[in-house]
Amino acid sequence: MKNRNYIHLFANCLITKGISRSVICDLQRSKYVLIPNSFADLFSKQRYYNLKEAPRIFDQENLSIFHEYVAVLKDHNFIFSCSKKELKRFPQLQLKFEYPAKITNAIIDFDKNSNTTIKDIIQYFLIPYNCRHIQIRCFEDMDSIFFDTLITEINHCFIKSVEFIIKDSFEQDYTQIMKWVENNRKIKSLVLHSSQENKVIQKENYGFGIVVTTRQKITSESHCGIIHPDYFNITIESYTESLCYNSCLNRKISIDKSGNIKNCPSMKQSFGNIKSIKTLDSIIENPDFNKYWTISKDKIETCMYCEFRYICIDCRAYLETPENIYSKPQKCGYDPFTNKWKWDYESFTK
Amino acid sequence: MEKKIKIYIQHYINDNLKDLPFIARFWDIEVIPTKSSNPINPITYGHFKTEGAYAIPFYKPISKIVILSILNEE
Ligand code: SF4
Repeated sequence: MKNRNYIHLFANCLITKGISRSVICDLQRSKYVLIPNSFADLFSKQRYYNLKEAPRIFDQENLSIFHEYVAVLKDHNFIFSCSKKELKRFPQLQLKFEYPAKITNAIIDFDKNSNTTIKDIIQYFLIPYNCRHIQIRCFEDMDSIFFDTLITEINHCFIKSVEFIIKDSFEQDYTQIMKWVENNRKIKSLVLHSSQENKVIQKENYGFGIVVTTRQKITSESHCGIIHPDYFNITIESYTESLCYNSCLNRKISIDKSGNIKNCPSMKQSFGNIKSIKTLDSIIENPDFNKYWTISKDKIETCMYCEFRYICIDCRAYLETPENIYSKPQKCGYDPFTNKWKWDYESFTK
Repeated sequence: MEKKIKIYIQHYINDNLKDLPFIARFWDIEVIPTKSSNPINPITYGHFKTEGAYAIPFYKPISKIVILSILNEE
């Protein structure tokens, strides 16, 4: 039996140190555990720790706390025991963000006056940039024929997933809409807003086909930008992207309800209208457009001290100080110095 | 039933290795139960005649406009 007196972090478990505490994120199982900075410091130079050194560093009381943390992390499969000889067998995860698309995701807003066709959007703005994941949002009632036209185009093109956020006009009879979602298997989720109740109408099936209703009245793009633990995202792609790029706007394109091309529909600046532009080439190269892409959380005031900074999806549209593009998101109530949520978005809107 | 289907496919692969890609013997076979007995339509991607059994989600939220916490309450 080898002497396994080392604890080693699994390669997919990464520590983010905040000003007051740290988190270990498990990028494979999408979960995190909060830990004290004193514990995180043990792994600051290498990804393992020799348990034999603990009694030298900690007094009796802290030593038992240390052992409790070790037990919890072992229980959650964040760490494992190994011998000194085995240490070199566990290489680190490659943390470079790579994704085979110039544009990775798109938000497309429609209303009754939108003079744009999904066919043109797909052909000119999605296919050339390999953008295969889209979200479609409508804040007012739309004809069901409109959605049928959209989904027919989507079903026959290279798009991999589509999310719908639309106004509930089904008067609580969801049989038809559930069938529609079931038959159109690229639909990841359908959120019906301004509904009479908050309800999960249809659960996910392998991550797709979710139908929910919410009483939330979403009347415009100004409702976006919520920062809440429900939106924390713990995946290898998202974590590695956040290390160097903006977790929301990097490689994103948005088309607002009037056809204006923007970073995000909530932002003021437009880079042209799809009625007159047939390519994104010059927009992507425009420094005014792509300057947001590299605003990582490490560059954002307050967020740079936050332990959640690599799992929190940022917002650059609504800022605490709108004239400062490095300002903290306005709709975040978390204080990384005290570790308290002073308010969450729901109470903020009330 | 799922086990039987898996064994059947494994035998099919072993018997037809020459006609299948060289990696076929390492394929992971997953039986997905469906609600009805009708075969599910494959998902098409519109080029190179590509088809898939199930779609692939994006790795992060595309927007943050829905208050998810009120859904969790229900
Ligand atoms: S302080 Fe910044 S990183 Fe932390 S939760 Fe708020 S927005 Fe996210």
